[in-house]
Amino acid sequence: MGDLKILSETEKEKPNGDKVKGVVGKESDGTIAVLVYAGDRLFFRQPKDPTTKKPFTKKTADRYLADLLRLMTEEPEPLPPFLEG
Amino acid sequence: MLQMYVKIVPNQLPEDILIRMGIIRFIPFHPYQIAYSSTPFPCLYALGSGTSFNRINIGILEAEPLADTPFTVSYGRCRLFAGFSGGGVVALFSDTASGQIRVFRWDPETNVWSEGTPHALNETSYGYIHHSCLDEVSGLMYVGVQSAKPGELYSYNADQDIWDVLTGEDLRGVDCVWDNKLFASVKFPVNVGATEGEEARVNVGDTIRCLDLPSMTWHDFEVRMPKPRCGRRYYTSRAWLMNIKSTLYCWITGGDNTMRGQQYEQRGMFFKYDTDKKVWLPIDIHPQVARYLAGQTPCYTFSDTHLYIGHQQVIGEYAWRYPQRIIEIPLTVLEEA
Repeated sequence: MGDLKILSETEKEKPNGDKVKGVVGKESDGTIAVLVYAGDRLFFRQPKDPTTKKPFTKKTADRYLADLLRLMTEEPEPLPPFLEG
Repeated sequence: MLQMYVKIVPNQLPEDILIRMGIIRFIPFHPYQIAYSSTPFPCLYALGSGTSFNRINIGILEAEPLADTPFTVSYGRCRLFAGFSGGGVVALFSDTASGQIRVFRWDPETNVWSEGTPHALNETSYGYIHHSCLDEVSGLMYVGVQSAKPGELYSYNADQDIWDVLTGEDLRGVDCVWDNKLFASVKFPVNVGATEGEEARVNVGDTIRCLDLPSMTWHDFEVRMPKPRCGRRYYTSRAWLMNIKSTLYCWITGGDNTMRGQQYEQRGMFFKYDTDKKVWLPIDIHPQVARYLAGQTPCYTFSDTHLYIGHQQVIGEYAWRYPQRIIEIPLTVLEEA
């Protein structure tokens, strides 16, 4: 995580048992970003609020991370009935 | 029609089968959505089950796992698009819990996802966006939402991260842009995917609807859907219109149904639109391929030379037995039909 200053950290489990770790951190240039790791591997980085397009504050980043982890750990949805057989 | 198949050369996976119309390839996961890209090399990007995201190098047939997706893949709720400048990949995910279509971009340089601007769904939307398309001329993605009432239709400009709302109808989704028209393949007499039961999702109308993009008005297309071989009923989500190299094709998936609604056989059908005669021309399909084309939840993409078709999972008897396969059909087979 290099020069990242961790502001908050959350871990959640996916339906398959894998864990994802979400971090709100301040990067070396001062950007507050939301980062998500699978193990040690970074696979998601969000440098600003996608809805407002504004830079994150700690509060908006925490809120975004909570929603993102909800999305990432949702149960897979079965096919809707009208797409079945 | 040739009935023999030949196991082909080393360097290709042993399960590959060469047939007259193309190659049936084994891949090590179930493809839910696929998208062709010529960069960084000719490849297929694919969403699989769970959060898996893979790239298949078409030249050497190697599948490479990439960064997990930031959402759990669902056939009805996501679409994958590739071929943007810089080699980026865009995935749309209909997040009905938050009432939004969310857009995620994958960066090939870093193998990391990020999120673009989401767009709100209608309050009552079921949010099924599996029929959506990319207009390669304008670069716009058209996102049609099945099962919504009133119909929802959006466009998304990935380069500028901008959404627009278009006039929707009760539609199953949108399939392709051809001749400045955005095609929704069937005009439904009832809301698609309605929960009132089986009859509510059976369509007896077979009118193709299209949105004339210059005037932004909906029209009936000049010809109706191609007819199934037997019976006269279409189930929803079984017709797919494609613009491949400026020619309009229609693919009917799933089994035909008899007058009594029984399934007749499980073979997909392909038709090519003749613009001069204004008719659908049936394309002769090898029986082995036709069985694969029966799956009701297909995914497909194409390059300059080939059409690639995969299946999400269990629909269609043959596809059900062999979900981890894709069909690679040379475009010349379609063009020469």
